[in-house]
Amino acid sequence: MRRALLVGLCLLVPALALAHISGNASPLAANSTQEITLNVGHGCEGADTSFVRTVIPAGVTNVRAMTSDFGRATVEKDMTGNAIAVNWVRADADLIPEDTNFYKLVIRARLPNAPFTTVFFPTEQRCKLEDGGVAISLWTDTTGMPVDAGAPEAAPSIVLVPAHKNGWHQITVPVAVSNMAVYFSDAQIVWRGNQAYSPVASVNALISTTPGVTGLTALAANDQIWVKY
Amino acid sequence: MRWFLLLACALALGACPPPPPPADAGVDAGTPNTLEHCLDAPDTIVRQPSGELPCDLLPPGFKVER
Repeated sequence: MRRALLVGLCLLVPALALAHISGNASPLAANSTQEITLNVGHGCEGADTSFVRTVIPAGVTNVRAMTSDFGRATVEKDMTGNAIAVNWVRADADLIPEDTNFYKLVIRARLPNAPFTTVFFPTEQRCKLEDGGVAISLWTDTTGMPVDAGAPEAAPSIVLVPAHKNGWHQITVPVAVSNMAVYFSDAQIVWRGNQAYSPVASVNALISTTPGVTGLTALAANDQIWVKY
Repeated sequence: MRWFLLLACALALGACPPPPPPADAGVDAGTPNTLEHCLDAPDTIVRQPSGELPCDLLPPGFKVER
């Protein structure tokens, strides 16, 4: 059973918000140091997870891995000293006979200055089975598209947005955005000219009933927008 | 005798205290004389939705077509 691991990545911006957004895919501030949490929802084929390896994508730097109650974390580096992966190993003595536990694996890293992009963390999960074998689940698909049965599952990912505080922000979008919900889930409303989008259903309803205002469904590169967070 | 009665009446009137000033409830009760809102939080009044985006969700410089 390939669907052995439910993995999500979320950025935990201020320390106060850690518990609040844990497990949710919230946009993260680009070009900043953030905590990235890998949520391991369950093991494989009824067995507890024994090992997790996450590849550090290009542009993610200053990586620090955090040992958790899951197990010890170590950072793999290349010849030049750059982090290329983080491994978490669960001690045999800590393995649980049944697949009952949820684990959070945390990395602190500096994220690339690439707002309105998605960064994938291809991940491999291993579980030790009762018969002595090892089950491996791959979460390595970075296409962002639905995957076929039996193929590697979608890699955990984080969404990067410009750093922002509450209020109005005028932003020039550097890349095309086809899915507004992905990059503006924490906004109140987004405007391009007289077109508007809101992730809030009640506000979206008002957009369609306000004279002279139409819905906004996508953005092109270099579009200038107003966003109220 | 009549002269004595007139003198007694005059003395009695002079001995009465002056009448009190007219009562001013506003001052005496310590309440202001100006009108005040009857609600402490008038913004909490339920208003009928306009069906349009509120001003705080319109970007700077944007005006809704009327």
